[in-house]
Amino acid sequence: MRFAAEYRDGTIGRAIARRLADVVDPDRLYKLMEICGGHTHTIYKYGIGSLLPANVELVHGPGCPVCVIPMGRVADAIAIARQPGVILTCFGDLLRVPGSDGTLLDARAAGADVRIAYSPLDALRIARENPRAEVVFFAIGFETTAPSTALTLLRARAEATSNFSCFCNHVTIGPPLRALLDSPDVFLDGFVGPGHVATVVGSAPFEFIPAEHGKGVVIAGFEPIDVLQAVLMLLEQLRSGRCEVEIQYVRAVTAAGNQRALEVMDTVFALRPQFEWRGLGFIPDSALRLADEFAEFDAELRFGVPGVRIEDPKACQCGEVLRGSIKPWECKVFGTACTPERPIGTCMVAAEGACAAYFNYGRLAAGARAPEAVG
Amino acid sequence: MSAGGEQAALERIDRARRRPRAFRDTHITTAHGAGGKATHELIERLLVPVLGGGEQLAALADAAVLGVGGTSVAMTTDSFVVRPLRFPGGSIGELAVNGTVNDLAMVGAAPLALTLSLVLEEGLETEALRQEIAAAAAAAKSAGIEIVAGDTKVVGRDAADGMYICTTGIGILDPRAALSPAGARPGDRLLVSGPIAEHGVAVMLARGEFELGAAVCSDTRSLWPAVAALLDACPGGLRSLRDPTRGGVASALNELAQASGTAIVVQEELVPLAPAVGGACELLGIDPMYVACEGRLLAIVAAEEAGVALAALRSVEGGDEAAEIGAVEPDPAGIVLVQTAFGSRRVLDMLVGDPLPRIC
Amino acid sequence: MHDACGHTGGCAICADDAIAMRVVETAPPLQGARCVTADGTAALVLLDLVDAEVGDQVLVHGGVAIARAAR
Repeated sequence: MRFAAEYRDGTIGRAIARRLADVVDPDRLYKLMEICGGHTHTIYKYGIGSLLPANVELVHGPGCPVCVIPMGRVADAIAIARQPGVILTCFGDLLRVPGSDGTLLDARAAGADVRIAYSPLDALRIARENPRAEVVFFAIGFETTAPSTALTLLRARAEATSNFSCFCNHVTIGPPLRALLDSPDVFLDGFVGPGHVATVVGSAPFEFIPAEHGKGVVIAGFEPIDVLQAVLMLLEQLRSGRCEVEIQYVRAVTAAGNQRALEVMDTVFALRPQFEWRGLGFIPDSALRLADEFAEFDAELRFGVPGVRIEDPKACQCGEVLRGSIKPWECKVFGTACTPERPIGTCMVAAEGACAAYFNYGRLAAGARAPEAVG
Repeated sequence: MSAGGEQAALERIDRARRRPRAFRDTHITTAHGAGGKATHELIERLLVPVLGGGEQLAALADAAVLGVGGTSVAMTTDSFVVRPLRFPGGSIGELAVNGTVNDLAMVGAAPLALTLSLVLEEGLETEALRQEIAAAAAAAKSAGIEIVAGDTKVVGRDAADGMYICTTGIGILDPRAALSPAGARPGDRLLVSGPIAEHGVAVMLARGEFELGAAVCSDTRSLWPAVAALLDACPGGLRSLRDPTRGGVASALNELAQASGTAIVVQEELVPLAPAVGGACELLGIDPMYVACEGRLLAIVAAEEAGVALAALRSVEGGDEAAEIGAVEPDPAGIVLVQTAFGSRRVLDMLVGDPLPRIC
Repeated sequence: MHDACGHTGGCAICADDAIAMRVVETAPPLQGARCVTADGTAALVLLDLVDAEVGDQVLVHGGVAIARAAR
């Protein structure tokens, strides 16, 4: 947590880049998946790609909670927002995710009361300040964010805020990784693990990856040095024939995680038997709903939602991008029919979506990719 | 899979960026007011063509310059819909005057006169109105501009969030000014007159939507003294001026890069940013390069004049943190790049969406 | 680029960001405690998931401290 400056030091970064060049086998190709939207952001923001050896490739996996929301759930949220007296609150990136009939931003332009919340507590405050409105929080995020929603619901119950409810779309990190590793068209050599999810869940939930699939995982922080160190640790595992879960982000991550957070999540949420992930299909036990004891705060029970499954547009290849099978620029509609201003799929909507990140930063990473470090 | 394939994709992105498109949105959204891509599409694809696409409009400068009986007169219009009306460091009345003066200043025109058109919400307290008019009067006096005409309308409750102010400003073009949004040339330097992002953050915090405590004041001020100082110091080497309001520094630089067909490279570490502003932006997950300023200018100057220009900016009140923050390169044309402290480069795109609605 | 989240700044939630802050005042359960960033920006943070005292450094995501730095 401290010393962010030293974790952004370019001299240290270039020194690690030189060690990477020493550690790789020049005759093989390495494909490492980084799962987390924050890592995608760091990689592009700091040009990490240009510091890696030419035969080391970073692939973006399904760790962006906005990217994986299927259109049907967005349509449900829009249906809730359109109901009279409702204030729908959500995180900013969600405003532009396309449902079947436009986005939440379009719904707002047409008169729905849709507001941005910077945290679920924000949404609860809006409920307190608008006692005659029904305030609904469109909750998304992995286990990093779920505890925040859980505490907010505990507080809502303690304060008897009856005009507050939650449209819960929290997802868990383990099952999509399992689904990904079980699919045939994935060729990966290791994973850069999600540092803040692991702060909550610990490193233990990732043990199945080396144990059952023979791939290493290094759980990384979010500064550029963190990501470079994690890549180095993965390459060193591969060189020495090891395969294990390691923690690079020791400043924040322990094997056991945050027990209190896990307990609070256990109290407030229950696992859905299955949940649809954009591009990955239905995955069992991969998402959370409100536990029965919190049913009074469940927006899906309070409001009628269509609950319709909406097919992704035929042209959309988000699924393949999320699985790491293709790079963003290999999608047929990338940069033509699908751009940040007119996104077809959510990989282009979210700031950390693989396609959005590549559209905005990729030209430089591509142009500058070289074995020696930049500068 | 192949480098050739990726190159083709990058070219597709380039074409996508440059491709002219018809305006297809069926409704106006807040993105259209944000000063970023949607705003530009609205202006370039709907407003300008329907208005006849004349040369003045199509230039998309901050003010139009008209020849009136041998004198070059600059003319501009602006509207102010900031919420809340008062915020640390300023208020809507002050913003209205300074914002109009600054549009004139950015084309090199000394402010002469402005009109004030008020749209008032039924139920607005008279004392609040009085305060704003007094603020406007004080700002006009300070900026050396006269408020010469106005209009007043009242609309029903909830229709104007207290008040909206619309202005028209005129100024006399300084004969030494040879400014154009397309003026940048490879080798030129980029200067900024002070720390960025203060206005937008101040307004967002004043809305009280975030339980953040930070002492941030709007930077609203007249930029004419700074422009006059630049015209005194290096008239021949002054290429372009832009005030980074809606859409922030990133959007303003993209406008200049696109108009001039050059690349503008910003040295991230050199951009002045107050710690409190940076901290608030980080907590909100907002990049300060996209947050509006209301009293800062970006200047593109010839390399050999950069030192003199910087001294001129620093000589003006409020300009002590002016800095040289980047340079103009020949390519990639029309693109803004950031040289990061980490030693890498990345693209700084124009704003898409609306991170901070109703800040000016 | 994306509403309310600036462009490259991204959305703190979607990017799984967390910020280091220092505890200035504690608070009763489920009430926000005053914490500050290194730059001095203050915010109310729920400390219910960590054992934090005044002066401790915590990692904050979505208005909640999810970890505490070693003392």
